[in-house]
Amino acid sequence: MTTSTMYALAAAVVLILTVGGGVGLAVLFRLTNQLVVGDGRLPRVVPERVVVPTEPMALLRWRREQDEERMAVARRVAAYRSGATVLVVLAALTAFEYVMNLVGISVFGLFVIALVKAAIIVHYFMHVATVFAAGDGH
Amino acid sequence: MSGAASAHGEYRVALRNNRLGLWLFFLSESFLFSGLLVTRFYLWGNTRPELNQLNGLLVTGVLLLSSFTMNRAETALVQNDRKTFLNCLLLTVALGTLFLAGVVVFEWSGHIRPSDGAYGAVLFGMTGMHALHVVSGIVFILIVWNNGRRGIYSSEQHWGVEACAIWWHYVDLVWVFFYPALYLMGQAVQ
Repeated sequence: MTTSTMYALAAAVVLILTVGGGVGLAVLFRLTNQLVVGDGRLPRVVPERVVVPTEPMALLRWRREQDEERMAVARRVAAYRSGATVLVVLAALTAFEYVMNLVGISVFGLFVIALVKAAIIVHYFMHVATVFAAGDGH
Repeated sequence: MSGAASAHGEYRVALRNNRLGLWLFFLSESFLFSGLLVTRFYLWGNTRPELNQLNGLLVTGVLLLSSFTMNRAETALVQNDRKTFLNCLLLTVALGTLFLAGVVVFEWSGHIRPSDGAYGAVLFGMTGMHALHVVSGIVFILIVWNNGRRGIYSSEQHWGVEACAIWWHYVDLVWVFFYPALYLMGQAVQ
């Protein structure tokens, strides 16, 4: 095998790995996104068959139901996204804490990071504001 | 006032009282954990025993993730997504058990024993008390999961789920302070 053939083969392998890896990562990110910030379910491979009614009143009702469903999904996704954002921030702060300790941060610095993490948990996960809120819902 | 409106009003009052009661309980619990933290700083000073750093980081990550799944379970119930609610509760139990295994199997079977003076006493005292709370949280979640499976909770009325979620986040909150106190702060000594 000549050198140029070897170079060509190596380039092809690198190209295939890059494209394949990119596509693989994109699929992985898409699935992770669906699971973490989506509605918690994997996307359907075959889309559900939609039957649109032809009768005017039924069509109106169908459209209203579709709108309500879309809004419910949007609300659900927004609620899930908020939890995922808090998780990412807390994970980043934990990693920061770990790395800063390797660098040589003071005890006071570590305590401040822990306080910030605690405040985030108390506010976003434990909903401390509801104890004093005027509203009575969950 | 109709019967339904009256019942709803009673639930609202009960909810407010329950929340206040739970937070007062947390306040009393915080004295216990603060006492353990003060003991750590009094007895260990600016030192700490040599612990498995990777294990500490991993169990912290697992507990953090379990807090997320618990939050997701609660959110799912509010959004009437019952399947995600039940699945996320089970996932939280699994992650909580993994955290326990990380602490009990790897940390407790390390080179430090409870009888190893101040280091052993404080390490086992802090992790043991926290582990006890994790176990009670797991039992609590399993009870809530069973109730949820039977359809006891609704998106409007689910104090049991809310209390369980807040309890689990409290367990995570305590670890937020325990992790740096045990694994990061001070000079490691053999």
